[in-house]
Amino acid sequence: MASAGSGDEKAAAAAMITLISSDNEKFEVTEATATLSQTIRHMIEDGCTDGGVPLPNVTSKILARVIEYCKKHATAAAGEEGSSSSFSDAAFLEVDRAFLEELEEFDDAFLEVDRATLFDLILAANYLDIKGLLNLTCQKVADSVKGKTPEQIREMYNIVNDLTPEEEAEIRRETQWAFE
Amino acid sequence: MEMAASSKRKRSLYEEEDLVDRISGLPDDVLGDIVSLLPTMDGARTQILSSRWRHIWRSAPLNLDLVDLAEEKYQCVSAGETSRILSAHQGPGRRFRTELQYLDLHSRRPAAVLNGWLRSPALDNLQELEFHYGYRFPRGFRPLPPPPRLPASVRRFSSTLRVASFAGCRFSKKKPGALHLPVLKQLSLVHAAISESSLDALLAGCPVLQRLLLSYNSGYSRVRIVSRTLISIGVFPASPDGRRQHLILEDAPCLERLLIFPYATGYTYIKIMDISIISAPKLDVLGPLNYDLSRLEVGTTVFEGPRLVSFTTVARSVKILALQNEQISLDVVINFMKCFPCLVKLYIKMAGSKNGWSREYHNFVMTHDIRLKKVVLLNYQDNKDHVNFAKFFVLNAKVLESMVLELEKGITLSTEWIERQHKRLHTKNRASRGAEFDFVDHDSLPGLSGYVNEAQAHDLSMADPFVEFCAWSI
Repeated sequence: MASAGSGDEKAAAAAMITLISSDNEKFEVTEATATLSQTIRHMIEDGCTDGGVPLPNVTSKILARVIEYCKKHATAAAGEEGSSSSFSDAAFLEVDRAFLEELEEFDDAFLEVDRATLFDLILAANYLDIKGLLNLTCQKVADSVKGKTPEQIREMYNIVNDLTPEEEAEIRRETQWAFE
Repeated sequence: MEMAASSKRKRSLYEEEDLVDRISGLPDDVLGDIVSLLPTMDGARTQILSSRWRHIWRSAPLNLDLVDLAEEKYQCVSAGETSRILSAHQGPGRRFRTELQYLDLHSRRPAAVLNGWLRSPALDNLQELEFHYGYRFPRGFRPLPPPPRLPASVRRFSSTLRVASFAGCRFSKKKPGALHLPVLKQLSLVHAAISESSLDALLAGCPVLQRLLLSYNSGYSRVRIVSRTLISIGVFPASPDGRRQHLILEDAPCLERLLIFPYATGYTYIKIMDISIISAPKLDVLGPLNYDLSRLEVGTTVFEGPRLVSFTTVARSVKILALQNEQISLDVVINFMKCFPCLVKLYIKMAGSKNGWSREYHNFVMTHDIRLKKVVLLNYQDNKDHVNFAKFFVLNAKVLESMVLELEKGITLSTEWIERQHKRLHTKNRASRGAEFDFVDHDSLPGLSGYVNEAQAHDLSMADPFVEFCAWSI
């Protein structure tokens, strides 16, 4: 976008936002990419982005990944807007489908991270209010838990069971149908 | 030295990290999201993980799937139990699914019970609702009694429902009774009784609908599709009242697929549906087409059953076509290839066999460019007719990449058998040098099942829904 020559594109390139990670690294992104985050969108609307947007809860390592996600999905959102205006173009279908498949592949590859990174991404997505990324990462955790016994889940995620036997019995009694 | 030290430090950090309980440190809302994405029973069981988790399930958006639950427990869920689950939750609701056959109502009226549940605060702002009052297959010659009404309390989710499946229920005939569902993306009407005007009004009330399934409904003889958002339609070409239904794709600029779920042969369904495709410029997946279709109109081209009656319009958008017939002949297939000249993939479920070469075939090959890249023949038998049928594609499809022959049950694959087939099919003289031939044996029965897979009808993730065509017959 930045290298393009037309006036419109220059205007788009001008709308850049600087994001500052907790370890003080600066990231220049387009407004379209940044506004996938509702948190940042609100800041832009309130005019508080001059001099950069400090994100004290997000490290540079995680912020770089989050931006990677937003860049990809911002293109997708732009594509969707484009397609709605050209209903009659049959060639669009092929492009749409190919792009959606590419997006799915991107998401799958994006989730190939260690567990610590996954949780950092969840926290960042939650803090920045990026719905798609939050859904994606939460689904990954849910899938890992699905069909497992409580013991298996505890072991998997190092959860210490601090419930007393009485409390446990109470939960089993209250929700008997789930433990039969 | 430094490198070694740093990598050692990294490792110990990683190990430490590995032992930390990161998941319990997530905010309540996020944990709640994760829990609501779990199957109902798994979700409820997270309460017992630790004190941190104890209250999450109750405050998380409720995902209550009574069908799933009954299947997991191998027994019906009682009405009392369901009421208790609902009263333990404060809402909002994410998903609620129930089928009468999995419920033990102790002879209470199902409509009243369901209506009561739907009023529960636990289901406030519900996004997905699926309920089934029961299948409505005619028994003998007596007309079916009217099904229970659509619960009035459904209306309170009008503004939040994204997915809805209404099955075995009756819709009000009154015009003001029509639902307006402004964010609904997916709708299934199954074994429902609905009048023509109510159906029109319901569809008009779903301005962003993308996926629609109409299966075995009664009360209408015509459904007109006028939608700028629909991507996929699934239909089951039969109705319990025996009425001939006419599906008209009047203006569907985004429609990509029309799936016609086949019924099992030998069933006594009244199997009639006419389809008219007037405007669906993006339609690219179609089928399986079979004899149950009394009439198929593509623009002004008309098929009556397998017969091409009038040939004036072609539909270039259709790339993937599935056919199934008791007695499929090459003539029939060629007619469909004329009407859909840009086909890339063709699936044919063969049954009995009938003729191989015809006069039509020579003309067709001379005048048409066959663009097929993949041909799949199911239920292939090692007889002269089937061999001739398959040979047509071997010798004439110039850009063919793959031909798959799924064998009739009972044929045992052996190297000798395959070698013999290659000879019989003249694969040495294939029109496309790059074409590959695969022989597969599968366990499905001949004919197709009357089972409509709702998930399959709405699943847009696969570009080609017929990849597992053999699974369409169970």
